[in-house]
Amino acid sequence: MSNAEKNLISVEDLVVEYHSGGETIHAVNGVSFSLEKGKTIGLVGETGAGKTSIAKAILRILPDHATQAVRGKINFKGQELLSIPEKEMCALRGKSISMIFQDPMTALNPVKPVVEQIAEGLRRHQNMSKAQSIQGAIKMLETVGISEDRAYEYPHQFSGGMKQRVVIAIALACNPELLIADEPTTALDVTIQAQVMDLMKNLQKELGTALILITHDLGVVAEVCDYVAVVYAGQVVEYGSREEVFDHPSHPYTVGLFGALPDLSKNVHRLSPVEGLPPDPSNLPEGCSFAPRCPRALEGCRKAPVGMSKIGDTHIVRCLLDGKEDSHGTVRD
Amino acid sequence: MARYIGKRLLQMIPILIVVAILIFSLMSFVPGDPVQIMLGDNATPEQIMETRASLGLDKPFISRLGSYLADLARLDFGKSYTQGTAVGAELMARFPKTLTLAFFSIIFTIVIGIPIGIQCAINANKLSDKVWMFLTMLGNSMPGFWLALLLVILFSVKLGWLPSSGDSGLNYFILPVIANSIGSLADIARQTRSSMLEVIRSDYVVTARSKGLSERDVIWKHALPNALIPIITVCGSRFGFMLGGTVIIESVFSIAGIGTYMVNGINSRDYPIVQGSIIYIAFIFAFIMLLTDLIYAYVDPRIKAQYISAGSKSKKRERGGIRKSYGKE
Repeated sequence: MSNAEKNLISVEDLVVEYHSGGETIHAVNGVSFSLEKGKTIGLVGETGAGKTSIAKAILRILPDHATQAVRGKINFKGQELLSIPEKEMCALRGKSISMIFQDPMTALNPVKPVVEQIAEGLRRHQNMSKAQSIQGAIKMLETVGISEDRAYEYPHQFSGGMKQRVVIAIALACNPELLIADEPTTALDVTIQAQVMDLMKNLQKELGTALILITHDLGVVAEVCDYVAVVYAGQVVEYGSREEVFDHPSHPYTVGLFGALPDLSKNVHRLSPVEGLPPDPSNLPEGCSFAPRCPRALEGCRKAPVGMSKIGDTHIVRCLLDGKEDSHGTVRD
Repeated sequence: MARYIGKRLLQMIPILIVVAILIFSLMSFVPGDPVQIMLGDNATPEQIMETRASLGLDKPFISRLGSYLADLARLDFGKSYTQGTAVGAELMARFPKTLTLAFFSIIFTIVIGIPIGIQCAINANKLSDKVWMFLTMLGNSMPGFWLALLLVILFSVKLGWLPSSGDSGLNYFILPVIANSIGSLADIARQTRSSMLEVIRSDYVVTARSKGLSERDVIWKHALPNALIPIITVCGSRFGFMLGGTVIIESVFSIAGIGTYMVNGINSRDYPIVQGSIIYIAFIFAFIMLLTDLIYAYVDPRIKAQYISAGSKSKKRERGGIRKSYGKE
């Protein structure tokens, strides 16, 4: 992680604050991670954990009217994204970094033919003429499995799955180096989910794109990601390679997430959900933000913020227990 | 689409018939006798009887209504009691003046009002937005005739730049257009602001931004087309009202338009003039509403799809049509 040269993007101490009704909402509280070219990181966490805010902060598309502060460092290929002028950021958006949005139903402009919504990105970044860009957009649509004769239709004539394909086509149109996919399959049918994930994986392989995958689906993470960052209340509480996190989940929250997954190999009558609710982001607890829900919280957890500690090669965890005990309460070697 | 337009045009006929019957009955039962007003207080009963007979007012209500509707079917609006001129011809003669005033007023309203609204939405709750919103509130609540008089005092009396009254050239219309537009302009600006504010925060605008489009393209190509529907609605009804004749502005600037014609008709109980004007206004409104509905379809493909699916099932052909027109752009 320390090798800045090798990293395509590194996020350091990212803080995002919103304001709402006179209160400050602490959506992201010091998130750090980095990603090499062509690799995939999964940001996992509950709704409201700040995953989307992280993504939007990277692209600098947080809503102006609600955002109070964005602090920290986001280094993309040597450029400091949070401090470059808007014009340079515009040149990166959609070209070097692009994003697949969560809800395909609302992410497309209802009054523009889909082909045009893809083509305008091509015109903006690849210096194409109108005709060339339309050709390019049609090709892109074919890549995601939409035939040319539907290219001139409007979003309302498409099903949810097809809309999501269009959203993906928009994001991939200019062969970005970094793709941020914000729950790309959440709004879709299970049958289409697999198709869309396959599509993204194939395209990633072909184009060598690095992927930040935001999801709460651990199954998807297990399938696609090289690294996993578990996000809770705007903080990374556990980070590591897929194997490290899946084989030795060390933060009690991660353990809880796995416990909430149905396991067909065991005969369990009830899933064990993580008890309680995430903390109110306008009023975070003083100590570890998971402490109020943590089955194993110590006295020290509630007093002061807990730092990250290294417990494996790339495996780090924000817990006083340092992952010394696994989910069954036994000591790990 | 042609089918839809045809259907809408046919629907206008019953509307106009109902309006004609209503206004004819209303005028017949309203107090005040046109003959009495025409002849004055010194008229003898014989004179009154004679005039009454010559205008056909001695016949029973039903037969008068019947012959009026029969005339209407031949586009004959009857003759003015007081002036003896054909109402239809007079309306036609006055229409260009009202149209000139209304057309330039609505253009002025759109060209100035929409950009103000957009700027306000972009800078929502900042100082410039607050200043504009205050000004538009002022514009909205200021009576048109008062503004008209202020404009005349400044530009005609003090500076002598523009004529204060008359309608014999385009420069005569500058002050009336401004006075006529301020209210609608303020209205459109406010409508644009609120409708843009809603759209600017929507997901597809974020998508547009994430493609790296310039802020100008995001606003004008993605946000505005989606914010247009309520703006078009307001523009349509404002334009309808303007075409119906703006009595006060026409009076202040002595423009011989339809508004003054109708008011004169009402004052002298000149039934044919009032009835003719009202039917004209009903027609104009129905026509403008059809026009706005067609503009909706042009702006929003979802609305167009509704019209087409309600009209016929030639969806395939329409698809080709969209594509062709798109290729031309």
